[in-house]
Amino acid sequence: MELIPAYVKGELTKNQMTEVSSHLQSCNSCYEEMEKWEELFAELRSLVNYTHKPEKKVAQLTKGKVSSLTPWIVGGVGLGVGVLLAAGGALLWRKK
Amino acid sequence: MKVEHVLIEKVKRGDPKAFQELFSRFERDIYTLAYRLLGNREDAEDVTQEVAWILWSKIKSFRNESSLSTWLYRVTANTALQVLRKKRKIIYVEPSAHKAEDMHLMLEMAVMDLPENQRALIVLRDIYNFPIKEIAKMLDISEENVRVQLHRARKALRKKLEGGENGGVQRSNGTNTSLREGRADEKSND
Repeated sequence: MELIPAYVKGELTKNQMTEVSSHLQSCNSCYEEMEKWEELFAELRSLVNYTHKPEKKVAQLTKGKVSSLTPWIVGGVGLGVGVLLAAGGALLWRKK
Repeated sequence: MKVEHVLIEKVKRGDPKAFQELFSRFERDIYTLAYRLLGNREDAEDVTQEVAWILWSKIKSFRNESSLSTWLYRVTANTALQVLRKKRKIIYVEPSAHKAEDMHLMLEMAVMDLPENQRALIVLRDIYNFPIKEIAKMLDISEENVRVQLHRARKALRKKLEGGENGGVQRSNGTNTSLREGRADEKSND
């Protein structure tokens, strides 16, 4: 009974596979057990196609990382230009 | 030539549009595997993003010897397991937004409610069909240990399903247990 799940998955040695196989032919309860494991493994494998969607669109995050820098760059450049204009204006005003 | 191969070649040449298209084909699969291993959505999203970067930066080393999905599953599993090793924290399985209406959801909830080490084995072996040898490498344990712990994990899952436990918001117990702690030579009592 203990070896049945590994038998169903083909994880046993050749000798063990043969032993379990011949036992299954004469034992009804083990055969039923094998059927239950087969069903469970089939259901588990089918979960591969049962997927979830991430909340964030990850593929766009690679792009988003770049685009998220843009406001900082634009803001930084804008601030720099503003400071320069203000300084220039102040200089001109002093000269006058 | 399959569309996927065309996209891979384009990505190898650095085409970002092709990358978006290629990645979007696998995004759900990658996220789902990461979620199943990690047990929470935020970490799964981080891993998905990490895998996106790996795909983008290492696609040139992909040689078409295996399918891209196999390659990505392997990368995802390894990345998620690294996160698990770093965190080693108690994980609370998030409540699902849906009711357990169908078999898939019931089964998934039962898997997610397993302790971290058992969940990893069921996910890698019984859902994604990774070979035992590869799982042993990923988890840095012996193949015999994988077999022993896998057997326990399968029995625990059956017990949950037959006992009508469907996971959900229950706290995963034993999530601090390292996979290395299980002893291959230990005999099961049952």
